[in-house]
Amino acid sequence: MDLFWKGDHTMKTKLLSLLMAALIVVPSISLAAETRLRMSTTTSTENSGLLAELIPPFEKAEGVKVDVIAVGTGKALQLGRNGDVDVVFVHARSAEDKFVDEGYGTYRKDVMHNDFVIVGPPQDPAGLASAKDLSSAMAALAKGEATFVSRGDDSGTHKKEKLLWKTAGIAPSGGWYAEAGQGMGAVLTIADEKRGYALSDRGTFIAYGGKVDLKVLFEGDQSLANPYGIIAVNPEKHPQARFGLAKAFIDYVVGEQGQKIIRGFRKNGQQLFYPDAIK
Amino acid sequence: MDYLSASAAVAADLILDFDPEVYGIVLTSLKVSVSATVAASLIGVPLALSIALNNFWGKAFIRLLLNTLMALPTVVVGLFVYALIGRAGVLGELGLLFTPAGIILGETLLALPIITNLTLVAVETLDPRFFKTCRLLGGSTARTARAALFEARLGILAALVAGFGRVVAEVGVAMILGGNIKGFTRTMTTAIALETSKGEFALGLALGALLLLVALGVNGALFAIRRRA
Amino acid sequence: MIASVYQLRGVSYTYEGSDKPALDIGELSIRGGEVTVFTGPNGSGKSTLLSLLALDIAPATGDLLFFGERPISARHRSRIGILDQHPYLFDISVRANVEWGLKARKLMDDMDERVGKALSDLGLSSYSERRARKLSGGEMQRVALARTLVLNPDILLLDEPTAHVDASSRERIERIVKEWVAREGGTAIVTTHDVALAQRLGGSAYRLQEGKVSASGVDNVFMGHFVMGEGGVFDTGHIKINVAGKRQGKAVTLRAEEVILSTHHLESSVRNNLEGTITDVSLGDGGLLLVTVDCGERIVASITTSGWADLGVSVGERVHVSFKASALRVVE
Repeated sequence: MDLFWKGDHTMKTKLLSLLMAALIVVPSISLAAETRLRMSTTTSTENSGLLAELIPPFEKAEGVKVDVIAVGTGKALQLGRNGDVDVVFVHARSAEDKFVDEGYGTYRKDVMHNDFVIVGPPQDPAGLASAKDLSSAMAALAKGEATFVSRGDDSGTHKKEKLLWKTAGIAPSGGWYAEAGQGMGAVLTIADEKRGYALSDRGTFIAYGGKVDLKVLFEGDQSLANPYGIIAVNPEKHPQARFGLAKAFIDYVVGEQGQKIIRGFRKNGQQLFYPDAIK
Repeated sequence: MDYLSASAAVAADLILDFDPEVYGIVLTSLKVSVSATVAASLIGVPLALSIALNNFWGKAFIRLLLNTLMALPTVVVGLFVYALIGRAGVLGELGLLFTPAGIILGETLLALPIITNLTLVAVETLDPRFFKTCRLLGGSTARTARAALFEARLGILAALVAGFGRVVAEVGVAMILGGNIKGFTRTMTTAIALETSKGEFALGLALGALLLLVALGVNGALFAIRRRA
Repeated sequence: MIASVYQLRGVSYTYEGSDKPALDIGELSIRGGEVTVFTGPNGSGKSTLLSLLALDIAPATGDLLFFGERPISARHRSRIGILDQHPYLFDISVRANVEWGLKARKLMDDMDERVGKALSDLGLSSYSERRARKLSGGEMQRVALARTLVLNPDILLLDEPTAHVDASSRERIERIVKEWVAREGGTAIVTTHDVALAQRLGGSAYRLQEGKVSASGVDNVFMGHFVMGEGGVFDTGHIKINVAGKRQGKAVTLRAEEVILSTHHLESSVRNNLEGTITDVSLGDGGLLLVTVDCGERIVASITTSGWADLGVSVGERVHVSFKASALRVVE
């Protein structure tokens, strides 16, 4: 290491410090340059690829960056409560209403919907395909013929699943009921590996396409509707929240252009979401 | 494993075609990890030197503490810093959450005990004659520290590499504090976690391979320096 | 009269976990402005003594006065320079090593000049930009000596300074130390197991044995070789000496108190009988006289004052010198 030893210590120490300082300062400067809108959302909107089409036109038009933090609905709302984001885009109607009622959110709009489906292995050991209604489908799952993989992460899908069990009068527990504590994609993978069942939003399931050997075995019930809402964080609770920008984004999403993008979004040739603001 | 080999082929294409998304993520990762390592070194190395060169009450406890903190889970650091820099936290005004600076802060805290402790060990295991010689020649603590920094440079370099290795490979802090925002705070590890959850193995594999390559490069450089010295 | 730099009274030092003191000195004073050599085998207490003199450790019992003072101030401490038997050199250039202490002490005014001189004194001028750690043992020892001497110490402590160095470095180091004492009035204190080195450096010599300093530590050292075919005869080039025991080596030593002086030839079993002229009589430690006799080689005998009176001779007169073959020690 001849480069290192020659000469005095002092000079090198100074140079090194300078280099280190530069390395720290440079990235810090670059991140202060743009206006950024922060949106917490569910993994389903992000993982399906919808946001990658929905956001760029808005960013271009407004000259801003939209930072997407994709987490479960529960956490997405919590980030809004903490004031760590400016806008929340989720699917859990009752939790959304509570969020607004408590004063954390404002300017809530319905954006779109898709629906939930119960997926499982094509062999269908629980005989779900022949269930005549949702309650008997849930009862068939609870017999424990095969594993049911729950999100277990307080996400919108998880909230919906819990509601479905409650409506059917079943308290799911036992070796057949597995709480993954992970996102939709991971849960589908687990269900596939275990040859089990799972509740999934249709969008993610379609987006997953051929990656898992699972089939839609139960669908169409009114209770399986999955509406998405978008809410601005209330500037009265969190003065630093960029309400103006959040409102502009919401208006864009529920406006002509946003709704058109949602309607036109296809994955594996299938439509994933159905706009609600402009039919 | 057809699926895996197909993913591997796509991964190889992504790497060899210099896919801008892949390399953007690598760049973010390196920027954040290097900054955190540098920041942790700027604090940890002088701290270690002052611990090594002074005798004071509670030194043994500090050593114990440093050893314990080296094993600190990344998610605990993430959670702690989140509480600090979230809007509700005392540093909330700075708006560091979900920015690269937020990750840098968390990863600095993560690397700090490692760099401090390993530097401490490197300095304390210097030849005892070094300290005697400095004393005889009339070296002040500051001058002795500067000389120790140089004499123990290989050990300290190894400490920095270990710190860098920890932060570049961790996912907890980057996920909690960075939020995995595409093109902004998405690092190699958070991207791998995301891609895996999406069932997209190709991008994950490509990033995993590049992560290994980075680790190999850094450790290889250290190895080469040690052999030449 | 040269003042005592160190005065030790009843000084002892015992290492933790040992019940025997490593060092136990009755009375010892070390004069300034000359070389003092302590010889003794490994484990005799040399390094303990040096640590005490370096003020690294404090005596367990007794008094150690440095320039007549105790406790010892930091200012006095900085007057000591030390050359270790395995010196630690910083992993920087030779010049930077020599500059280190000057910078640490903020003595930078004439630094270049001082460093340049120290380097050239030790024959290191052409090495100044070389990496110190890449040098040979002897060169490293010279760098360490230059680094110490450039600080202008009053006292130089040398621990086996030439044990691990080549002949040319050894010669250079010995010469520089002697010159430094003569020119600067410095005080050099050397510990060594090498009695030949003690002889070459001159000055006061003491023997250390099991932690005790013996009052008369003067050794006669004869360089030469064993004569082939004549078992036990050592030839210095000027005299032949009968040596009992080992017959391999380039030097033999003889302690001054083993040498017997007489006015006529002794009829006894003593195998070495020589004759020579008395060249010097001086007062040694412990009230003994040191008598130097030139028998072709200079031989120092130690003798009590009453013995000297009984002998009734003086400088310039002839005297018989005898010593046992078994009194000689062979140096490998």
